[in-house]
Amino acid sequence: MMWRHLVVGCFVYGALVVQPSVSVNSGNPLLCPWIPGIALIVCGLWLDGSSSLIWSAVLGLGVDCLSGERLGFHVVGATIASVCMQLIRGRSSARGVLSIGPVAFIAITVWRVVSTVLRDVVEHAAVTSQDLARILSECSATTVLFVGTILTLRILANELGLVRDSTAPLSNRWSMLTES
Amino acid sequence: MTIRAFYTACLLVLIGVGLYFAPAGVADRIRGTMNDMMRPGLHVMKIARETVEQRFTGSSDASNNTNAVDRLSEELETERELNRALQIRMAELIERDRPENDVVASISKTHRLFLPSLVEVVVLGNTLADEWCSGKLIDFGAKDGLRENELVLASRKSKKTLIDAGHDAEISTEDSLLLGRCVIGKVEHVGRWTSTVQLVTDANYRGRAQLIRRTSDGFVFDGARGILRGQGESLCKLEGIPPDSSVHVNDSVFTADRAGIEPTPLYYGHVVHATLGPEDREWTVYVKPVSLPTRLATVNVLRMAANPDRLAVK
Repeated sequence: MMWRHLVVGCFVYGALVVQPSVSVNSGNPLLCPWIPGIALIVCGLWLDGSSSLIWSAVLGLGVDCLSGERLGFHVVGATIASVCMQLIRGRSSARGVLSIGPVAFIAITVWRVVSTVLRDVVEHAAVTSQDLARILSECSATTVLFVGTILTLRILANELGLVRDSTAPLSNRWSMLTES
Repeated sequence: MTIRAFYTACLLVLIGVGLYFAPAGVADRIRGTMNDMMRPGLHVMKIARETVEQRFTGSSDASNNTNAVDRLSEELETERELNRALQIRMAELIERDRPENDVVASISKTHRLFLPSLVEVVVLGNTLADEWCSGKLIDFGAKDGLRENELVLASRKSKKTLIDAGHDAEISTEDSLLLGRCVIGKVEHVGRWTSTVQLVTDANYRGRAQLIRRTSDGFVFDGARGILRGQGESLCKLEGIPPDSSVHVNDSVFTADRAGIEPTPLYYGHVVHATLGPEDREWTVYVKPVSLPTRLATVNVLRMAANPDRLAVK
């Protein structure tokens, strides 16, 4: 279980250091993925319960520190997004790659919208449609990147024979144990 | 979602709200700590970004190198054209200084009745020519029948060049005037002892000419023949080249002897300008003849003489 925390910690750290480079070198700002969103999805997929929430909050704090704005907006946004993701996964029994896509999109969008709206409300700024459009485009790009990466890794794993066939029925397992 | 997770979420939200209202010192300390923790990773990312940018910059350098190569190729082609023109000029100078014996050496044992022969003549200076025409240089006067041809005298009045050979040297009208192996004019009027010559650049000069292109495989003649006409200026005009002929700048212009007497075509000059308009019936070709030295002292006259072998009594 500790290795999961280690991997998630690496994802969180990597997302925080990669995002400034991605945002600087992106040619089209509307197609720039938001890397911390991918780290949020990883936290929600690999960890459950309080662990996922805590890592999400840490991720949000890191984004707050990098953004240069007042602390707290992204902590709250990431926490709420993680809660939403856990609620959606808890209600849905689907575990396929494509089923994670909508969950990821919703979680990332919730994070960005909550943090943006909170900031604009607190600072008495207007939430423009352009901001929302930019958020949606970034979230879409991030979701596409995440799903594409997962699919690619799954295909590679299948090609290399690393995926264990989990569809074997229980009865067959008894047969495998008893038969010589 | 468990109760524990719900309480954790509420606690984290409160922490976030608390961070917003935290004093500036505390917020700055937290921000500094987080930035210090991320500094090594940011430094690594910076190095990786610079490395990637250098690789892409190398690709753009390759494209710049390609543009430089294209530009240098164009410059090389221009220099090659210039080099070719200089080679032609050098060939002209060499031809001009070649001994005249080379012209007749190859036909000394032919069976032809009339053989071309060269005679070296002196170009008389203006002062000497004027005194000659005025009769001051002849001890015997006109009453003795020793007077130069009237045509020669008349043409001399128009300042035509005078040579010291006439009928006495078996000079004939239209005999080519050579400088080395290059044609620089022809005999206009033949007198008893002197003759006037017409240079290629003179306004009334006419001569049959043909275009020959010098290629890496040798000389190529595609049948383009015309009339080389002097214009009274430095360039001559080659007329009568049909539009279906191929004419290029730096093509060589040689004599086209219809009578077949000349052993080899003789060099006039080279093409410096050639245009063919959409409605033109012939090419407009300008030829730069062989340049003459500042002081023309001696020239050769290509004359026709009977073959002594054919006239010998057996």
